[in-house]
Amino acid sequence: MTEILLVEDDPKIARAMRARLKHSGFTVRVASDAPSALMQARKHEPDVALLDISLPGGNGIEVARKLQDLICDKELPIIFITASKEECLKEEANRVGAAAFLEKPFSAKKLLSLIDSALIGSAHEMEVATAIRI
Amino acid sequence: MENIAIPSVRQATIPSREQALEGLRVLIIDDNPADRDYYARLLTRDGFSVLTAGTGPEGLVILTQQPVQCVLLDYNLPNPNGVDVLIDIVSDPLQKYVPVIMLTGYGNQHVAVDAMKSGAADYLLKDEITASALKRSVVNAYEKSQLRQEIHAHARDLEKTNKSLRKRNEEIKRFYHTISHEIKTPLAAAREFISLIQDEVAGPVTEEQNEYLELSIECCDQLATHLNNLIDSTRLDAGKLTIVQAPFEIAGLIKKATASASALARDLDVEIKVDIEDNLPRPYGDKDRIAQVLCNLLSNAVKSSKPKQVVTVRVRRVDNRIEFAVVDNGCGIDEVHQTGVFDRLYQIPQDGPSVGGLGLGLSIARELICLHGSTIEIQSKLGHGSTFSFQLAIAADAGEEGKQ
Repeated sequence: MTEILLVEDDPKIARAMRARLKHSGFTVRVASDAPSALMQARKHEPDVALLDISLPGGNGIEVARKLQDLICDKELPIIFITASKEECLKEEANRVGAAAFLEKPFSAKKLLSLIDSALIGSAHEMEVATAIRI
Repeated sequence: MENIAIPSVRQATIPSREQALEGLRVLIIDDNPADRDYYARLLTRDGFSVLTAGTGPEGLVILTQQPVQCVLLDYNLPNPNGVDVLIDIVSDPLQKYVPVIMLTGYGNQHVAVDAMKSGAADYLLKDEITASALKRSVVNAYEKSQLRQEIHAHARDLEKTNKSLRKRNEEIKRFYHTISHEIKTPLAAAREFISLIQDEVAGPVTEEQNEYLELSIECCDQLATHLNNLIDSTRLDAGKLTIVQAPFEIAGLIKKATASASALARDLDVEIKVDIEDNLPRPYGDKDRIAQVLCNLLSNAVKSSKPKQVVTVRVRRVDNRIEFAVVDNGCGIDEVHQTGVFDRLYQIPQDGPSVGGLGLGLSIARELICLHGSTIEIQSKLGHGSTFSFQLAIAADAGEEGKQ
């Protein structure tokens, strides 16, 4: 089953998103801060991370970088959740390899389609990587 | 000081301006005692109070000891010379508003220019000094320095006000940003919870319940649009909103724009029609921002239409450009409001119920089109509907795509 790591400090939006993702058949691990995000990632090796770009005490970009370092044997697609059009943060997020941006408020359709494309994208990359190795 | 009686030639009517200037203290710095006394006499007779010094350093000491409103300075002082003393006076922050009048000998006019460049208020040729010339020069120099002082004070005040306004503006912008951020997160949660119920994640939903949930979702989206407009508006103000231009497909754009206005059109029983000319080349612009503009124009058009009326999105080629127009047959806009509608926070005074909105949409639309190097045109007649249109450049051929 596809594992999703959801890093979001607002408990209500985290709960709504978890319900949606579970309902759509994903396994969801929720973390509300950087340390628990890294702990969950180490333990469960997620296939996709949904990451709030403005986490308190250490921003989302930093967490993204650490997650990428942690999971080095495969590319972890990261979808950043943003609350406003923070252009400068977006640029930074792109540098750490953001798969997509999900702007609050969002529709379930948008959320699920972004996850699908992120999974397809990373599967494709895996194929390419394997092909190169062969 | 020797006082020689000179017959008083006071005029019967002294201008009040000059009356107020009597009692001004003038410092004469001149090494020639005869000259010094002569100027002192002329000035004293005109009601000025006079101090004298024979050397520059002596004069500078007097300046530090008591307030002086004007200095008469001899150019031909022995070491230090007149210009050096002048520079000492004008470069002293405490004396910077004390006007200095340079006294030069005949044939020395060129030094007068140097003196003026070094900060002298005026210069007088020693041989041509008369009572009236001296008085006029002192009074003018004093008044000029007073004005200069006032202007500087005003400039300082303005700078202070400007600084505090800028700070305030920054605060407001940050505040908008924080507000929108703080509102969007709970808004996103509310929208998602409603959507979960609607999708029957938490159990079956009746048709009526579903309808209400749908309306709640629309309210959430409306709120999100308002918040985005608020943010866009402040970002446009700060020049922080940038557009990303590229060739784009018209069909996709129109689909996106009409989709977001369709719920409102359905509610108000207004039909949206699309009229796109065949075989149009691709326009060049920021697709998302153009969709935002069209969506705003469409929702305005729908709001100003009556039930059963039609709003048309028309796209056609006009010369070497692509014209986008939103045409309605609704209430129209009176000519007096036609330029105002693009102003921020502008609301057309309504007799009937308010059409609502923050008054940001059209001003944002205008700015966004302006960022594309184009303008929004309005054609409207009260009671006969409106047409809002703008033109975009045609994308250069495939090899040129992405440039410009």
